[in-house]
Amino acid sequence: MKKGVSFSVIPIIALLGVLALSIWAGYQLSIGSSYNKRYGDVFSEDPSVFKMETVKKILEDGLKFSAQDASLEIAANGGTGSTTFWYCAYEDKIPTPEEVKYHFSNLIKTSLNAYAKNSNAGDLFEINVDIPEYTCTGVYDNGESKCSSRDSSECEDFWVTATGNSQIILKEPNVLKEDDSISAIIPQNRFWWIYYRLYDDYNGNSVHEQIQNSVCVPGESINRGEVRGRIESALNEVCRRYENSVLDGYVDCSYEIDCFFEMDGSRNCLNTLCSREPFNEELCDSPEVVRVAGKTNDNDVEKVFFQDCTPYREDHSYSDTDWLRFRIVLKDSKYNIPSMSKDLKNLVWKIQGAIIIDYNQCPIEWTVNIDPCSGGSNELPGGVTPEPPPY
Amino acid sequence: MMKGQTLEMLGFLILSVAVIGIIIFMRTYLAGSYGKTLSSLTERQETEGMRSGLNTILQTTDPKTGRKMEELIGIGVYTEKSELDFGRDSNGDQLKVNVFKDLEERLDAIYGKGKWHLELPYPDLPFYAQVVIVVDTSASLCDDVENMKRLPDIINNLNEMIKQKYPIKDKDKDRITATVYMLSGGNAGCCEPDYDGQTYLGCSRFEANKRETNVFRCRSINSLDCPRSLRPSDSLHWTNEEDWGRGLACIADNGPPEGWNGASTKIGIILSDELSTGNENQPEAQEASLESAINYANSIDMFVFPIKADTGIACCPSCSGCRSECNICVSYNGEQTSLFTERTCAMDSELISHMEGLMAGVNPPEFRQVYELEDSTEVTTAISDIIKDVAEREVPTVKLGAPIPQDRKVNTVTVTVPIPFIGGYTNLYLYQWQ
Repeated sequence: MKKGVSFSVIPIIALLGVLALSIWAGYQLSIGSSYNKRYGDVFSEDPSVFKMETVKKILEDGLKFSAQDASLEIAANGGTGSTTFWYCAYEDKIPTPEEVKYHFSNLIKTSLNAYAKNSNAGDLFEINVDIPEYTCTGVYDNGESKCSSRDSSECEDFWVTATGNSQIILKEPNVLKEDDSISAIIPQNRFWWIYYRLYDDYNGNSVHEQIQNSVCVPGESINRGEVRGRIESALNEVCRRYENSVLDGYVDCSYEIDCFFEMDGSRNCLNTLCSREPFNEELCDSPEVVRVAGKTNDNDVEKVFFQDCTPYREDHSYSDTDWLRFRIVLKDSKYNIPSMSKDLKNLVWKIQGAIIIDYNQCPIEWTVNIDPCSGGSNELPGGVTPEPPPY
Repeated sequence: MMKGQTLEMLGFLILSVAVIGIIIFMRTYLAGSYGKTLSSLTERQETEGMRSGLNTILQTTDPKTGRKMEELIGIGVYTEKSELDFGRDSNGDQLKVNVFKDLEERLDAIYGKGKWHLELPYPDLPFYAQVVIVVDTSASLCDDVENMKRLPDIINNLNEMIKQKYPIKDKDKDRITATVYMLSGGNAGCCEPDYDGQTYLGCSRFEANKRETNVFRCRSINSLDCPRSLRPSDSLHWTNEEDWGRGLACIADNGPPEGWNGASTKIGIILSDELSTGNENQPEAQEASLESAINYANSIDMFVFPIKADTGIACCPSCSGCRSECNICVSYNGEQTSLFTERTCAMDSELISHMEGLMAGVNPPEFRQVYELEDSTEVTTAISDIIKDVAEREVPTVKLGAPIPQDRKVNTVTVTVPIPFIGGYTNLYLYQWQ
C-alpha cells in the first residue's frame, strides 16, 4: 500500500511541476510580446523623428539655394526686386540696407515656398508631410562695421531664417508635429560686403556729381562732340576707384553708356521709370515708381535763310540739358555661386543711373560754316559727325 | 498490484504528454516570438544602420567649401558636373570639389568597396523653353523666311505636345515661346511682296494676327536697347543685316519681350547663309562678332543652333565658273540681280566651320552639328527639330558603385535631395548588400 501511494504521488508532483513550467512559459511569452511591442513602438518613433529631421534639412537646403539665387538676382537689379536706379534724373536714390534686406528676403520667401509647395506635389517627395507656407524670411548680414571694412574676410557669409509660425506635420509612420522655423548660413558670398562698401562710398562720392563735374566745369564752354568722351572718362575714373580703393582685386568694374544723345534733351533715355518712392515696408514689395519728368523741348532742325551767297560762319551755343543712361557693372570673381542657371555664377552688382547733365554753366559751343550757294554744310570740331537717331 | 501499476503507468503517460505539449508550446510560441523579435530587430538595424550611414555622409560638411554633401550633390546633379568650382578662398587657393568622387570614397569607407550602388537621376523638370531666332535679312534669305510663315503654328503645336508629355498642373501655361528678331540693314528687294505689300525682309512676312501671340513674336533687332559695343561699327543704327553674331549677343543681353526666365531652357537659333558680318574678307570683324555671340550666349547658358541656309553650292559644286543662274538674288546698289560668285561658293565650307566654332564655344558635345538646309522648304522643320531635340535631351543618371547583384539580399534607401532649380528635387537611391 505504501509503495502504491508513493508511486502515484510521483506523477502528481511531476504534473504540478509541468503546470508550474506552463505558467512560467506563459509569463515568458507575455514578456517576449511586450518586448516586441516596445521595440516596435520605439522603432516606429525613430523613423518618424528621422523623417522629420530629413524634411527640415531638405528645407534648409532649399532655403540656402533660394538665398544664393536671390543674392544674384538682387545684386544684378542693383539692390531691389526690379531694376534699381541709384541715380535718377537729378536725384540720388541709393537703396538703404533695410530696403535691400526687405526685397532680398521677399525673394527668398517666394523661392522657399516653391520648395515647400513641391514637397506635396507628385510622388517624388518620398515623405508624406504637410509643410505650411513660409510667411517670413530674414536676412542677417554680419553687421555694417564688419562689412564696411576694406578686408572682406569677416563679411563673406550671412544667415537666413524662415518661419511660417506654424508646424510641419509628418503623417507617416506616426503623426509628428514640429515647429517649422529653419535657418541656414550662406557661405562664400560677398553680397553684403560689396553692397556696404558701395553704400559707404556713396557718401561724398556721388557718381552723378562726378559725371556732371567732369563734363561741365562752370564758366568753361565745351566743344560739341566732346561730351561723350568726358562722360566715358568720368565713368572710367569711377571704375578705377571702385577697383583700387573701394573693393578688391577680385572685383572687375566695367561700364556701359546705354543711352546718350548730345544736345538732344528731348530724348529722356528711358522707356521705364527710374524713380522709386521712399522705402516703406508696406509698399516696398512692389515699389511704386514715379515717372521722371523729362524735358520736352525739341531742338528743331536749324533753318538758315540766306540773303546772298557770301559764305559766313555762324556761332552756336547749347546750354540746356541731356539725358544719360549708364550702368556700372561690378563682377566679383572670388566666389562662384549656385543658381537657377545651370552654371555657378559670379556675383554681379549693377549700379544703374538715368541722369540729367546740365550745361547751363558750361554751354556747348560750335560753329557752322555756311555756304549758302552749295546748300550749306556743318563742320564740327575734330571732324565729329553728329550721330543719327537710333531708330 | 495490477491497479497500482496501471495508475503508475497512467501517471507517467500523462506526465510525458504534458511535457511534450509544453515543449511544443514553447517551441511554437515562446521561441518563435523571440525569434521574430530578433529577426525584426536585425532587419531594422540593417536598414537604419544603412540609412544613418548615408545620412552621416549627406550631412558631412566639406571643409573646403563649407557646404554639406547633400547640397553639393544637389548642385552636381543639376549642373551635370562632378567637379564644382566655387572660386577661391582668402589665401587664393581654389575651392574645387569633385563631389561624386568624394561621395564614392565615403560610401566605400562606410559600406565597403563593391557592396553598394547609388543612382541619382537628373530631375524631371517640365520643359520650358524660350527660343530666339536671329534672321539674316539679306536678299538671299527671301525664300527661307517665306517658309518660316508656318512657324507660329508649329510653336503652338509644340506647346500642346509638351503639355501632353509632362503632368503640368497649370495646363494653361505655355511652355515654349519663340521670338524672331530680324536683323536690320537689308534692303532685299528680291522678295515677293509680303502681307503689307513690302518687298524687304521684315515681320510683315508673318500674317498680321500671328506676329504677336502669347507664344510667338516677331520684332526688328532695332527694337532692342543694345549696348553700344554690340552694334555693328559702333553706330546707333543696326547697319549690317548679316551680323548675326552680334545680333545674337544683343538678344541674349536683352532677352525676349517677356524677359529671360531663370528657369527656362534658352535656345538661340541663327538663320543665315553667310559668315557673321558677311562673306567679305574681314576675318577680324567675323571673329569679333562670333566672340560676342559666344560670350553673351554663355553668360545666360543658351544653346545655340545655327541653321545654314542653302548657299547655292549644289549648282556649282566645283566652285569654278559659277553662273549667275544659280539664282541667288542679291541687292546691290539698289538693284536686284542673280549672283553666285566663286567667293560665295568657296565660303560655303568656311561657313560650316564658322558655325561649328560657335557651337563648340557654347554647346555640350551632343549639340555641335550644324543644321544644313538643302533648300528653303526645310527651315521651319529644322527649327521645330531643334526645339524637339533639346526638349528630348536625355541627361544620363549618375551611377556610382558596383552593379547590383541578382543573388543577394539588397537593402534600399531613398533620400530626397533638393537642387538649385527653385522648388526642384531629385531622389538619391542607395542599394547595399553584404
